[in-house]
Amino acid sequence: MSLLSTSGVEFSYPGGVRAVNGVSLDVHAGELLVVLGPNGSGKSTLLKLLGGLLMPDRGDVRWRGDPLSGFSIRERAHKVAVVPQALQALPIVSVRRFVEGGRYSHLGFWRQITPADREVVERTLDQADIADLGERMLDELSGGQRQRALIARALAQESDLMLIDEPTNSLDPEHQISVFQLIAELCQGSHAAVVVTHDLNLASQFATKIALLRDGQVAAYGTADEVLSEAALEPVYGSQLRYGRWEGPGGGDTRPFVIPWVD
Amino acid sequence: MPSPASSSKPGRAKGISPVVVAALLGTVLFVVALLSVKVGSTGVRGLRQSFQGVLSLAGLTAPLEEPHQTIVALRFYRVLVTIAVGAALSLSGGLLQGVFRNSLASPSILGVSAGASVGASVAILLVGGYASTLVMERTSGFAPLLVTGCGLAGALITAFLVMVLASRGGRTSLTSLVLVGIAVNTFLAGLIAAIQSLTLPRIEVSRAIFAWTFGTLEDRSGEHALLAWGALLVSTAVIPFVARELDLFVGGEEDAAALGVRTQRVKLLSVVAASLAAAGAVSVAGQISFVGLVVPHLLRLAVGPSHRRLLPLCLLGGPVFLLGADYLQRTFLQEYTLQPGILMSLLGGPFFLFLLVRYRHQVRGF
Repeated sequence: MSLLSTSGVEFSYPGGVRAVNGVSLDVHAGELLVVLGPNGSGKSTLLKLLGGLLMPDRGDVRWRGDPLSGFSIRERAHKVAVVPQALQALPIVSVRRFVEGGRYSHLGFWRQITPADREVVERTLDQADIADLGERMLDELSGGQRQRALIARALAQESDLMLIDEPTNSLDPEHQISVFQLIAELCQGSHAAVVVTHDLNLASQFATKIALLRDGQVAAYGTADEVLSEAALEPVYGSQLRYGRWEGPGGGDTRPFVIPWVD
Repeated sequence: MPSPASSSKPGRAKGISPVVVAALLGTVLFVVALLSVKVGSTGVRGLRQSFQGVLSLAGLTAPLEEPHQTIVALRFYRVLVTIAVGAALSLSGGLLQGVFRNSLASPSILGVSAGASVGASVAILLVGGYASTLVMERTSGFAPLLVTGCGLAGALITAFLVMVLASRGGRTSLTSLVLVGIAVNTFLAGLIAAIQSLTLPRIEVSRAIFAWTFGTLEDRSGEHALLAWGALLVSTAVIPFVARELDLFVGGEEDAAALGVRTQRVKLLSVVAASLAAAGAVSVAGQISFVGLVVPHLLRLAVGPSHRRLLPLCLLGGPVFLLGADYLQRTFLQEYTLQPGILMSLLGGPFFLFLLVRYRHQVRGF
């Protein structure tokens, strides 16, 4: 059974713009589903629908077969963690205090952090490779470190599914790769992630499945080989893309790559 | 646009230990409270005499000879009321600043205090007025409740009105907050002026409402103290259920919701508690501005922006500020003593201007 599934999900913002228009997707355990699509294609809105932060106008989002809307806000936070593209404002707190925020849905009546919560926080700092930054202030971190802090906070929720919105925005290539490596490592066993990105080549390297959105609809869905093809991408991104294949070490595992290029 | 509440350079998380700040404020409050019971316009009473007078109010010792007992009792109630009013106003400010994610929010700037004043003025009209010194008529037993109830209704209506008008997509910009606050305050001041003007022929009602707008801590009774403390205690009870949540609000409401925070409930609890605290304070002491703005801001500079530290410390910082300022002016200005509402405006107005200048890069459209 899939962790999270949507069927025929539609959503319009006030004013009538239909951002998501009949999307049906399944996310399975162990999967890293990358959602691609041009600006305004409904990627971020879809992510919010998957996280229960927006309610669909039509269709439904199900968690292991049960409607996501049937869970309380706290229960939902145990199942799905959302890593936003950016926070509206950066809290003036240390990285450790920030990551503690991920424990909120696990706290008891008096909202006290327990030693067990602290253990989880230390473990997730370690997992996200920022254990040495615990006492640094959040606004003192570099972009890549901040992204890791956001992921660590989501990890502290101990949910099975992470929904991550454009995690490599404004990161240099080295940090883009390290953030995706971290996400790929996390998609083991019962865990999975849905990542929205513009980067076709990171998707090629790390995604187990790719969904390509156009005008709020799924234009293509499948493996990197199936989606990162001229046939699938040209109707969505136009003709100024060039396609190739990259041979991995040993030449066995080849992957498609795509670059924007004007002749 | 990041709000000053969340991105100000001062108020780094570490700051001074909140325990140290609490101990310091607690000690200062105890000393100032003691001095305030001892000293007044009718001269100085000895410490022992003051203690005996206070203990006799609880029936623990025999009362002092008159008029000493009455004088000590009045001073004691005044201190009790001032502590509750200071705590309530600064707690109200701390909660509103958290909900609006903006350190320029306060019950007076948002018009919540003025809303409570309008509600209370209407109640005074219905009751037929207090004596000119705002002492509640003991004969009309429901009057205090009516005044507080109407004050609360006025405060709540204003708070929600400002929240709806100044917010867009759950985010409140500094500019719209200040502008809506000005508009609402102006309108409510007009309403109070209209009520005053219409009640001019009924001098006792008109004077009661007029005195209200200055704020007063004179001639407070046990009932006043009970009312202010009751409202304060109920508002204080919400702190454990909103403090951590308001910390998570900084990144945005959607982000807080994703972490499992019931954002609507937190907003409702915070605004109702802030309005109740402000209404309780306004209904016993009239309009006292700026305590709710200044105290949380100063505390944030000392202990950082975490609401788990800030809100409980408001309960000590507010009384120290209000009682301390009141004690100092009564000691040094004596017969020129100002009403606390006026004193706080004189101190708070320049401080508000200082904050606006400090955050002027964020109020360009202002």
